[in-house]
Amino acid sequence: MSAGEPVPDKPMPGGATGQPDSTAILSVRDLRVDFETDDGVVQAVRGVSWDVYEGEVLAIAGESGSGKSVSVLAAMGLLPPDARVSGSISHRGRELLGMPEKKLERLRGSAMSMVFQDPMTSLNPVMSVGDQIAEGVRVHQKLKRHQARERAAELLDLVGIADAARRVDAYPHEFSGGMRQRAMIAMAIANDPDVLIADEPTTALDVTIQAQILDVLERARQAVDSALILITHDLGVVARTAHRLFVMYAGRTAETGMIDDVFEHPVHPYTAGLLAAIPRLDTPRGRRLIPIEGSPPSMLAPPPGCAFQPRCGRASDLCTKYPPPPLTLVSPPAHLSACHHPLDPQQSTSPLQNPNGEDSDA
Amino acid sequence: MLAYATRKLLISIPVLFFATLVAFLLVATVDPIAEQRVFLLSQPGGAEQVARLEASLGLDKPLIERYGTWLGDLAQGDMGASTENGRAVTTLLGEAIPVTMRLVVAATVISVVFGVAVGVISAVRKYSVFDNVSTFFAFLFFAMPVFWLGAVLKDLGIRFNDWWGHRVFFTIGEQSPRLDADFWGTWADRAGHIILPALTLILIQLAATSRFQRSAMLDVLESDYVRTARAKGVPRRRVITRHALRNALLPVVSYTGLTFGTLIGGTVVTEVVFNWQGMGRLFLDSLLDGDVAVSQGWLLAVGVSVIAVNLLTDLVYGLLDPRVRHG
Amino acid sequence: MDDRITTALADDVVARSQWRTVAGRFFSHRFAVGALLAASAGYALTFLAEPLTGWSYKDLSSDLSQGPSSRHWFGTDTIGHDMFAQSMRGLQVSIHVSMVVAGIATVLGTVLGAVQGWFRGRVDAGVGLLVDFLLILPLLPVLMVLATRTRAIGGSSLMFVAVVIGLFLWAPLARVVRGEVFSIREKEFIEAAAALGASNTRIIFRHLIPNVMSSVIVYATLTVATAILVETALAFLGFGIQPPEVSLGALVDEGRDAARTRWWLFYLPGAVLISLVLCVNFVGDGLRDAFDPRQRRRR
Repeated sequence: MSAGEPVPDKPMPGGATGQPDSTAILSVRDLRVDFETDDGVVQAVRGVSWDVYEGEVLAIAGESGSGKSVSVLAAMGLLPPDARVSGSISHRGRELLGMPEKKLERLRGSAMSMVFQDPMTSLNPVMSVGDQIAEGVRVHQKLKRHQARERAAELLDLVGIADAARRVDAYPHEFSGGMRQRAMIAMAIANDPDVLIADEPTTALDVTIQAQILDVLERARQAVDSALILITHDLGVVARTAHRLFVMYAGRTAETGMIDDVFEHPVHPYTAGLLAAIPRLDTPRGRRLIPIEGSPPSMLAPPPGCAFQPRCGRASDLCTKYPPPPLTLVSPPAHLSACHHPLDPQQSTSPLQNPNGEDSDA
Repeated sequence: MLAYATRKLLISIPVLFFATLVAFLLVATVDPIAEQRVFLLSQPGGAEQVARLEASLGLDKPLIERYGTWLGDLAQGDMGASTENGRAVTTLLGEAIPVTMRLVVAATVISVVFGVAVGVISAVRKYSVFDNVSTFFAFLFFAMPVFWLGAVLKDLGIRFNDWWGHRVFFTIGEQSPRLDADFWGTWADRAGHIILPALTLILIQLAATSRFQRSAMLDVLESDYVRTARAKGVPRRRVITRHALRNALLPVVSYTGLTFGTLIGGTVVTEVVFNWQGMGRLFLDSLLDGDVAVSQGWLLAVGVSVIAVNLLTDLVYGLLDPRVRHG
Repeated sequence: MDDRITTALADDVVARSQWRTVAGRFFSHRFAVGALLAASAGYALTFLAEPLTGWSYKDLSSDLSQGPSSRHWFGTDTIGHDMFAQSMRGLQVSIHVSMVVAGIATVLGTVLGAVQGWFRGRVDAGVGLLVDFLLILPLLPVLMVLATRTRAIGGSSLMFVAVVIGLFLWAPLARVVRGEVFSIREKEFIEAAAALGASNTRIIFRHLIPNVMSSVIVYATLTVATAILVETALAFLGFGIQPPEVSLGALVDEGRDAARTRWWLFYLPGAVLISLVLCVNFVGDGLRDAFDPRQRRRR
């Protein structure tokens, strides 16, 4: 984590249902998203609040089904029509929920833009890559066809596509997965967005090019000086990219804070579990990775108490009966967690920092 | 694109060759002189007459040789002559094809255009009144046999004419017999004749095409690239036309090619119902009369048209889809 | 307990509960269930027609060209056939023929498609050519030619017609099964079976085909509807099932000239035919929804 990145100087509003923060670019308050299905209502997001500020990289982490993608899709207004969204999402103080589609279209792709998980399916197969980038430019800026095309070539060059001037006419199937994701990034920064959202941008790619794509993403973000929301299940990715971390479990916030705080002193057993499961080069020999046993609950009928309780070593009766308490401050400025039985930040310390390697079989 | 088109054209050559074989063999074992044979063999000295007849028609030769002769003649534009009336098969086809073509082209063009439109609107306004009504009619007409729908429309047409007191719909033939009119008068008369038979084919084709287009469109509307387009801020109308429809047309294009053979079958039936003197009648009569050369020529002509239509849809597909064009 | 046995039992439970889910979804589909009940009731009625009305389809009564009445529910034709008995017989024939057609086409399509997908290479290309050819083949004209041939060898019987149609209708299913096998052949359980030395036959019949059953069932239903339409169209043109056996297509053909004067001869057999095809299509639609809830209509 580099020095000098902008850090908000006040505590996060966290789980409180207070007013949206107008100094934030995106401010989410008490967001709930339900999907009506044949089998019942799926509660994908159950009251989540977060902010993202100028120029910062916020990572939202969690397992699949934890509601992390759904909450940003709600911000973009890209959820399917059968989704019921409540709460508040505001962009620089303007409420996005309930905004007319026409107005939202003007924000999408210009103020906020998005890079999706699977570059193989996210590009239109019958349109040239250049046309797809130029289309995004021309929707928001008054440019002539050839100007938009030149801009597309510039953007492709910026994201590291060799021979970009010629490649603008190529079709997606002529690009490799990594190149397609670069093109997606080019498309996302085409209109200098305030906030760039990347939804698992490397998950569908070859391990060998994942790091490249993260670099391209960071370079692109700096080129347009935007904030980045990085959605991932991979805390390794978080560690190398993000300033701040937001951990979700079963549609709720588990823990949030600056990367160093959370990584060094995780207090939520789920976060601690996730951290213990990351393979690292500097892990002492013989120390085992500790997986989290079990799997997340069905969001059709989430358990009444803490959703993590069945998988949690610290669970008590309290956890089965009552939902976790609201987010509480662990340490200033912004480390918060919602747990009945949090770890002691001073003692707990991450297995990364103080591995109990003694019990290894080495 | 040129390489793709050439490749597709080259592939159709063996298919065409195979079609000639099938057309020939399907009919070749029919005995064109079955009735005479029975009669002659009951007469004294009939066996020799039968042998002479067989020799004149080339029936004494082995099948493969007859196929070779047929193919050779075909190369010179000779498809043989009808054993019933002695007229050249090429002449008979030349008379019948334009009649049937009017019906097939009208039905295909109209059902595809409307089918795509109805399917797209249904998908975009899923579960709306429009969608529910079109779904209802699609189910109804999809279940309807061509021959029944044709006969019902014919009956309704006659009833309407009676009620109106003036003939609005023509229900018999492809044009009025002994018609003496100028160019426009002829076509006006033909238009009056084509409405009901064309409607028969259109309603059934439309049912299938619109359902097919609807589900293709629904698939595409849920695709990641449509979401990408929306994420770029592309207005809804443009997302539907530029991104969704372009892709959702692809399966419908191949579907239209694939169902052309079915349409031919439907046309045969429709022509029978409305007493058209087109390809359907020609084929039916040739089969009932055991008129081998006509049946073979007919099957070949239809085979060629099916191959041509599929070639055409392949080319359109290539124009629409760069993956295929470049592959 | 042996690990393998528990795993197998667990798999079995999962499989069974999946089928139960599918069945549950199907039975919550009102149209489909109604259509299935109606079709079953219609089929039962074809056997009850004679005991109920006292008329067999072969009977010639002295009531000529009569409209529908309590004595002749669907009226009679010019030579005194009871049209209800005739229609019910035609319905029965259509159901039997279409079942045989669908049976043959489904078995051929499933096995050949799975063989294509599993062996790939030359086998795939060879069968693929045949599939492509059958897909664009104008079926009705070809069947008409074949009918003139088979009549010569005395074979216009019901079963013969069914078998011939069945031999031509397997191509769409084969194409779908091939596609699905191409994707599941890469799955671990297939690789595991192959690595354990399972024979090709065993892999195809024990592992591949059970995993494409949902498409197979949906296509089988569609084939039933197609078969009914083809059989009746052939009979309408005079190339299908021949008298004294009854086909709804032949009944419509005989009745169509009387559509204005003796409407019952034309409209009632036609209505029976359309109702049957509609029911089959509704059942097919319900099955597809049950197997693929993504496309499902919410009520």
